[in-house]
Amino acid sequence: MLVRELGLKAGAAALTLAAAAAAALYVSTHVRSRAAPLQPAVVTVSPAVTTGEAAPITSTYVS
Amino acid sequence: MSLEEIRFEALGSDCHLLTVRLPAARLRRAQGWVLSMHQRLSRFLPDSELSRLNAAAGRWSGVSDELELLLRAALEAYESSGGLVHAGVLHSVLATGYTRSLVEGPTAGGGPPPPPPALPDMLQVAPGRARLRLGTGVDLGGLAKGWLADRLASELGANCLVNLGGDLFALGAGPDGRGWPVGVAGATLMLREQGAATSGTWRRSWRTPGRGGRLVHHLIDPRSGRPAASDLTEVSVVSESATAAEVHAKAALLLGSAEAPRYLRPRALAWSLS
Repeated sequence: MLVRELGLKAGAAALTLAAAAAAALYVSTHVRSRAAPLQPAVVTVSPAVTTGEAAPITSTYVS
Repeated sequence: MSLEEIRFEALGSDCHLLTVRLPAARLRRAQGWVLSMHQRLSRFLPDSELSRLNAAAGRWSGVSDELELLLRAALEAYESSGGLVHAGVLHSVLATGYTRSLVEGPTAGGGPPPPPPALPDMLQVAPGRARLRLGTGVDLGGLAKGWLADRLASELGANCLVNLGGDLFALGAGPDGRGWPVGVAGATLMLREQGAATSGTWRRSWRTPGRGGRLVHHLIDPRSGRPAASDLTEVSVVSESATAAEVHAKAALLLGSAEAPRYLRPRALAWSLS
């Protein structure tokens, strides 16, 4: 019984590691642009502009 | 309130028009106008009005009201950015290999040409006509998107938002009276009678052919005639118009992170650098 539990745990761990490795391999070979910013920048806002909580209806972006 | 919107592709980008209480037919007409301007202003279409102007470099050429105004806007952008936003870098852009839509892929580039002359020295604009100095050409690129967004918003009524490939202008109080919620570098800003634009080097970039090819992009620094070597990859700006936002975003990107805040502080209403 104990051996079977350990086997299941080892199998699950191996499966998780394999999935993580496969995902890492996939994303590293499918990068759209290696120069793309990794995280959003801080936005400096003057008093003439108000910030909102609502989800944006559209966005400005690089095109 | 009734929000109408339409999405379509034009100007090499995704376009998004939104209005409050306006018949959908008006949006479809607006879409038709943007598509017709694309046909006239694309440098990738040999029969476009812009391509004909470039092909006629060295002599005066008749231009439409829209192209005349856009060329004047390019001269203003050059002045207001201290020469950094320079529409006359076409030959430098072509030398990078960006000779056709990047969907078709870049072509082999040539040696970089010398930096272009000052824009007022190579472009003359008179009522109904324009002349480029022989051996020069203009690429209106992002400036056209901003200018068209401003112009279309003024045509679409008192409460609308025009987003042409990320260059946008928000007019009126928006769908619920608090302004138009617009995403700017991950934040939501409520824009009203304000424009926004983002300039970046990473999206239209590619590697030159061969082993160890260089990463090049389309944003030319007119001081060198080569792709900008800025430490910034993306700048978003909110300003009083989409045209102004486009100009200031591009200038700030070319200046780099050390000088951009000083440039933007008196000119922009909001900005982000990355």
